[in-house]
Amino acid sequence: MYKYVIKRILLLIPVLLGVVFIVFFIMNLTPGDPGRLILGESAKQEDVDRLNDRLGFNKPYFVRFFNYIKDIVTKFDFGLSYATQKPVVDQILIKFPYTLKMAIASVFLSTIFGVTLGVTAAVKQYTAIDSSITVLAMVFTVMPAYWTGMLMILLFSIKLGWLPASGASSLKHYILPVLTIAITAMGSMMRLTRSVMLEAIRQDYVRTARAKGAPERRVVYGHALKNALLPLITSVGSMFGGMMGGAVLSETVFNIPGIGSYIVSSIRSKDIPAVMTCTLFFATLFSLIMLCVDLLYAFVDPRIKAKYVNS
Amino acid sequence: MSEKLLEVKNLEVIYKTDLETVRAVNNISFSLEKSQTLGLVGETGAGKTTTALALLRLLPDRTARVLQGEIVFNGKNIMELEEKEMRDIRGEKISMIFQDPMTALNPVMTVGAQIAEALELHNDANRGKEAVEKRVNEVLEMVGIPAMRKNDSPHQFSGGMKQRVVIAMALACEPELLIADEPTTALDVTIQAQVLAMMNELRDRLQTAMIMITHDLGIIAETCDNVAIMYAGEIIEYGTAEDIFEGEQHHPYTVGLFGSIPNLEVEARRLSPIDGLMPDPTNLPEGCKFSPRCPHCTDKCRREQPAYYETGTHRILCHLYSKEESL
Repeated sequence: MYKYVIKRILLLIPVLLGVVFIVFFIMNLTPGDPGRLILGESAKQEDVDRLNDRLGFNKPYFVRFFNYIKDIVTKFDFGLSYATQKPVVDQILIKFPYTLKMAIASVFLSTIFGVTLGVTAAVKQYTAIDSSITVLAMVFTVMPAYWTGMLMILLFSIKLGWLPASGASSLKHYILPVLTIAITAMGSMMRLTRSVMLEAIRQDYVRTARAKGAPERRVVYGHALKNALLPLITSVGSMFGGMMGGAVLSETVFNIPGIGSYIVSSIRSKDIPAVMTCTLFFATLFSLIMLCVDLLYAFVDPRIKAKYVNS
Repeated sequence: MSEKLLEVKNLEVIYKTDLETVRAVNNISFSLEKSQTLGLVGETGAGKTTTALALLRLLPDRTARVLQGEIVFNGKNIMELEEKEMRDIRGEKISMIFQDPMTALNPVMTVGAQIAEALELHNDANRGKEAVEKRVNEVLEMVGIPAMRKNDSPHQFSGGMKQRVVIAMALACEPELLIADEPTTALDVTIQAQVLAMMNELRDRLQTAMIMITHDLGIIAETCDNVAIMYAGEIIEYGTAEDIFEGEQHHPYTVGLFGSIPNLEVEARRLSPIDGLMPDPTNLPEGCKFSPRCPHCTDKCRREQPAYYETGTHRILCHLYSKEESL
């Protein structure tokens, strides 16, 4: 088991190198140079050239790529943001907690409600309850986050005046954005849960459990759901991982200074170190979360555990 | 005669969907005494499993309907019990061994936990955790599996071992009635013999009544006191094992069944099956359900549903014998 974890963590290195290589390459293709970006339109060309030279921008692509990697590995230096001239890492550390809080809360909400409703729909297949849940799931899935967010602001902030519409200064401020993200995620969670549960409750071992005299709730949640967990864990994991990159739309609508809006504004202003670091950060977190998902598999399913141990 | 444990009267079960109605079990009656074994024999689709599931009230509730019938277990009609009372019967008083041990166990739970679950659900004696574990060890040893393997998962067991676990689970609460639904069909022949011998031994030791569902007449001959032969949802012949295996009069279907068993002593180039196929249960023939395949079929058979012809313990659902009587 430990061997497996170490192997997976070592595998992270080539993955991250690949990510850096590709993003670095794409950023390289975009026009513009950092000297001009930092000094502004009105600066003299000589100053711009000098700065470009100092930043190493005039060196060939591969040299810059290796220098970038070298700085990260030897000095843990991710560079200074072109826009603010401050270390990018500091920026990310300021922005990330907002994103993390929103991600945890909305994943939690959408999982709890999505799974419960999905299970209910599956157990009551072809009844009115099932149809209403399925329709609800469909509505949730097709509503884009910016639209849901806007409607929520209209209702809860403007009409009723219960909750603030923008900012992230108190817990109250998080309610609407979290709901917005959760509703969108919940739709697909419900649909996925319903379909995996429909298959699980038809299995023989579910009948065995009933024949043992187990009450329905235990049959459904203890036996069937436990077997349906694998696809659900994958889905929750990648949903959570995806949210590490920030929820750009919700952050924009509700004006929350999270990673999502930071990455978008960095791309717009060609702030290469910021974009690179954000991407790297996101890729690392996503891979680690997926590693956790794979480890959870082993925890849930002894057959997979056996595979890990033997590999 | 000892007292009746189970009595099924005029049970009729259909599966109804929007498209069609499958008449799975048609008006069957049988009874079972304490610590006796009844064999239910028949082809695939004869209604054997449906009958078994009806006894536990585990029929799929969306499609299956019990049109009529009484199932009296220990003097109580279980068709009228509350769901909660029924749960107390399942697993404790009546338990079931399913056909396919490969899929009957929950793959994500250890076998020990699955056996313990049955014990905890019916914990009338208020066993503590340790007592439950002790009992789990006991039943595992009873079916010939070392107790230390209780923390293993089903995928670590072979098919025959899994079926032993299923049997251990079914017997954990010492039920009064054990329903074995083709317990050996999914196993290979050598393991079949082992498992059967073990089941017989345990049944005798624990004095459990048993309903043995199978299509293998050899198994019936080895294990059963009474035999019911099912065809198209009806019991077409019912009697003691002696009536069925040694009696002189038989339903033509039974004759066909015995005739289709290959004989080692007679040299035959081909097997002799019963001609034709089991009738479509969504569209059963009028009159006797076996008439389209019956070598003795008459006009009367095609028109009229036969009544039972009874001699002592032996019952045959056929016009052949009642006709003789009236002649």
